[in-house]
Amino acid sequence: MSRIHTHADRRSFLAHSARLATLGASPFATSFATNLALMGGAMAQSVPTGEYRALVCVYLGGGNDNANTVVPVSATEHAHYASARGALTLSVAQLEATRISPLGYSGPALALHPSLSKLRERFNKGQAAVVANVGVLNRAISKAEWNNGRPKVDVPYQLFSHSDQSREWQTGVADAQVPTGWLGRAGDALQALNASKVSICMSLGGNNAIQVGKDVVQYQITTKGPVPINALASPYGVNTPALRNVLTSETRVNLMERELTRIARRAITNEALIRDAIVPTSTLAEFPGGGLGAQLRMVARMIAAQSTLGHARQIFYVSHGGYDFHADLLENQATKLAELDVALEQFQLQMALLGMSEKVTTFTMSEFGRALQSNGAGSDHGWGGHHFVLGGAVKGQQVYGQWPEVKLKGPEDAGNGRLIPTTAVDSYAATLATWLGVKADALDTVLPRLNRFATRNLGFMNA
Amino acid sequence: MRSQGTGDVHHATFKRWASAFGVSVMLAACGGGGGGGGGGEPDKLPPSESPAREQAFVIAPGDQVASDAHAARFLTQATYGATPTSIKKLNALGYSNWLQEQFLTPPLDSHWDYVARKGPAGCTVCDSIYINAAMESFWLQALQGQDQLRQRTVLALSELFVVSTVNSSVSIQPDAHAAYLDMLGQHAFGNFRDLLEGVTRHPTMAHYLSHLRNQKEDPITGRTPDENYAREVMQLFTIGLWQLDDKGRRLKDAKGQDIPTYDLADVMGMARVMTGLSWGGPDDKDARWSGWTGEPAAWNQPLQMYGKFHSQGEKKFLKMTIPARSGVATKAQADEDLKVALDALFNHPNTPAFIGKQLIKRFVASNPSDDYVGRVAQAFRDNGNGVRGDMKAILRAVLMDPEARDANKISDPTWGKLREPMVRFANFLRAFGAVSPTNKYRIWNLEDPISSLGQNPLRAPSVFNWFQPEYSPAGELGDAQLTSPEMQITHETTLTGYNNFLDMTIQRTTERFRFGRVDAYVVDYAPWIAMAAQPDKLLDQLDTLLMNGQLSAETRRDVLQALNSITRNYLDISRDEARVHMAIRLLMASPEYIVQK
Repeated sequence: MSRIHTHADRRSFLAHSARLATLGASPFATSFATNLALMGGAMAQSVPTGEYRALVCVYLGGGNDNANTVVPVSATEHAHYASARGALTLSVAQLEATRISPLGYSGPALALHPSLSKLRERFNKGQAAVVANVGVLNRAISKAEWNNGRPKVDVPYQLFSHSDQSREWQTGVADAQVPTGWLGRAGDALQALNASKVSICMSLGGNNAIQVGKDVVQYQITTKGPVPINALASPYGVNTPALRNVLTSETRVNLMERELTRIARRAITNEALIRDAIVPTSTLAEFPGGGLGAQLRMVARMIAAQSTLGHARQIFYVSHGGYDFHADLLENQATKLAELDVALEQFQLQMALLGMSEKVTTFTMSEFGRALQSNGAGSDHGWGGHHFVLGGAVKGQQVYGQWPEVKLKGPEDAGNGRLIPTTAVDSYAATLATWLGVKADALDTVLPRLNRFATRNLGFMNA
Repeated sequence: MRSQGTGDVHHATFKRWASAFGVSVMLAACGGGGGGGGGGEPDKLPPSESPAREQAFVIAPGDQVASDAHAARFLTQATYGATPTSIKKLNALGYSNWLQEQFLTPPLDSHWDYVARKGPAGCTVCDSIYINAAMESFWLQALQGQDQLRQRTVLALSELFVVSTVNSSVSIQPDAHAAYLDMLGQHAFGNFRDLLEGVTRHPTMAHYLSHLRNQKEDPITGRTPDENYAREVMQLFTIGLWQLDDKGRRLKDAKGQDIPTYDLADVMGMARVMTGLSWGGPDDKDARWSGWTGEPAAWNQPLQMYGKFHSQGEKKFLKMTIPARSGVATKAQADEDLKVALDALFNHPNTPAFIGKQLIKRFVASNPSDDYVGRVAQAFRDNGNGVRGDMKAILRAVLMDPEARDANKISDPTWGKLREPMVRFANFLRAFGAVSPTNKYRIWNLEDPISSLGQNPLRAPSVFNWFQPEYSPAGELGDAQLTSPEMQITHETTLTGYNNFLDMTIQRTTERFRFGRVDAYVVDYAPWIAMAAQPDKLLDQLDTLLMNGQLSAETRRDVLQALNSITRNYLDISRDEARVHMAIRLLMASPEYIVQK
């Protein structure tokens, strides 16, 4: 009974998503761009847009199943894939419409998950790339080394744990617990370019590890933009000076109370700064793609306001949770990836309308890929996974890194088809940080283990 | 009507008690200078000749509550918030008697029954449906239950053994969540081993972590068992990732490195144990395994083992081996495998400190001393009578530890914990006597972080809860190596949302805003309005009730100034009511309220 409801909900959602997807650029998009142009003209440009760049990290929480996200469709390879996947198999016919045509690539023919039809178009148009088999590593290891087992092989602790691999991806340090994240450290290196009191690191996905800097403090924006503490904005009913002091007084001793007052001060200050800089919500229709769409919509508004905010660089974090499909993988991943596809597509359309396509790069992360071996209806925690990079500055239509053999007991198989990563998070991150403007001599501060890996730049970004 | 193993025994006991002693079960104290309350004695029926009156209590030395503020402080830790009545009662009983009474107080209803009858007991319009029915029942028990310690323990356990309607295969079934909450409540004062069994065999958990219908490995297709529950039952529910000493500190290897408790092979071994579980019922036919019996889903029945689907392969985990067997497993063999595995987790040296520390964090403080953790872990290992896992002993150790009760800790800059948002709301509703005439508490939609609390019962974002126990925010707290789990959901957006929520809630939860809604829950500010002509007095009383007497001189000055600036009646509300609203608004926004110390 209840299951039927769930299915019906999903079907209607998918239908809704499909309808939205076919609409393409919605009418509001034009008016949004027009509005922005008008606003931009009316305001002093404190930071030239020509110098501007932004990274948008889309975190797929729970561990996206890589094997059904980018799938080999050549006969032999698909057969290997299918024999391990069993009931999780996407057939060649199902994958026909989302085949991709990577350039300069000699591996098996590939297709994206059927839900990723818009992303597939972007890929084939050269506006998106795949980075294959990325994961957390202490150093590059071979399967033979892996088979020797710990302690002979130096691999991150607590492999396959959500919380640990998530932290390792985000901090960029897999062999120790460090308090900062690699986007936060990139922010430390770049924030001097900004002439703004609003942090270079902004999150719509909640408090995260990746945007913690040594100096940079991440700022949480709401999906609805600048929302004031109403009682401070409108004195009706509440005594404003009293409330302000209660919330922000710097005389407190208890460390948790002090932290609360710091958050309150940031909330009040940033809200005022952003309110003055940003275009009104009314000019911007909803994005498709559920909560992720709402987050990316707000990112678009902040990007549109970069000049008035005084931001030469912006670093955003959005999150899309719920990818932990130990069961019902086929159905649930299709729903999730459809949300991702429509939200990313709307965001890219928005960037084009703003003239920001070449200046904004979006990339995915997820704590791990998953085992190729089916557990019946789902897949278990893995290690390496495939990721997407999107935007006009991406050297698209290519598969970067090393495409793994998608078969059990293949050369990258750590067991049950959990992939031993062939590209370190460090190299992936360094490529993005370098594009954002982190100089070569600062790169080892942003990614302190990068020097352990052969590749400092995977080459997927234009200079 | 419902049968959930040992839970029914507890429930029957409660009912016997309730009928014997009326609504408020009172106990004779063991007092009179004898022994002074050693931990862990089994429940004793009170001498029936002893009149159940508060005056009859003898409070052991050291068990007296020093002041109303001390009482409020304890009740902030142990309940959904102090009320004038609960402070009086605790003062009269003393801590130990209060705990003992709480251990014997039944829930006012079962969540299961609430959902089944589509409303609270005695409802005339029984229209509570969908998942909202389970949420209403949650709030009814949290706000109105006399079994407040059980209610807070259920909350703590629900944040340890998380199931959720978010990103979940149990997103819309109220009976599933009602049954799960009941199960937590039934084991809250039982034994941790039974709780672990109850969680593992609960269909709601088995949906959420996908071990329902988890099948043995298949050598032909290569299919392997689902590892989801096997992993999380170790990582989150019992032993954690790192080997710990008796006080919860990480052990180190010869190189000074932390030592993992298990690896992937252990997870895969444990996953084989967790095969063969599906719906409970009178038979173990394939139709029941598949859930195709045509009967209503048995959400309130423990899962049973289906030998046919249970792995007979060798199961290695945590340095133990269950040898391979030949042939198809019997139900008894499958049950035995599960027993061996859960016993191993229950008896693992990590479990007492791992669970104990988290319970301290849920009730008392985010950064307990190692010794405090050690004492709670010791209570887990042995309740004083050689019993491991006695939840009553554990909870008593958490709440009655010298560190928990030490008033000097209030001024320790590293002490305290954030009240989580939904508990703040419960504090408010209880403090000001919110009642719904129909007993329906239609509180939902607290999840929006912009206009509301960013947190709602039954809706944690993942099995990792809203926040993780070791979360340490960057900055001063992180630099000092301090954790503050609730800070994980505390940021510019949620701080703003909470403040705006207070604006809406304090005024609109009053009779004036009922607008004819028979189900509306409303607070009663009358006793406070009566004091408001003297703002000093009003503030003293609110300080005790909401802040455990911990209002800072500076905030007091600010609030007093604000109250004194209200000098006239308004069109819709009187001067004194406006003062009450203002006082609550400012106090509940203050950091010294949000950080319970």
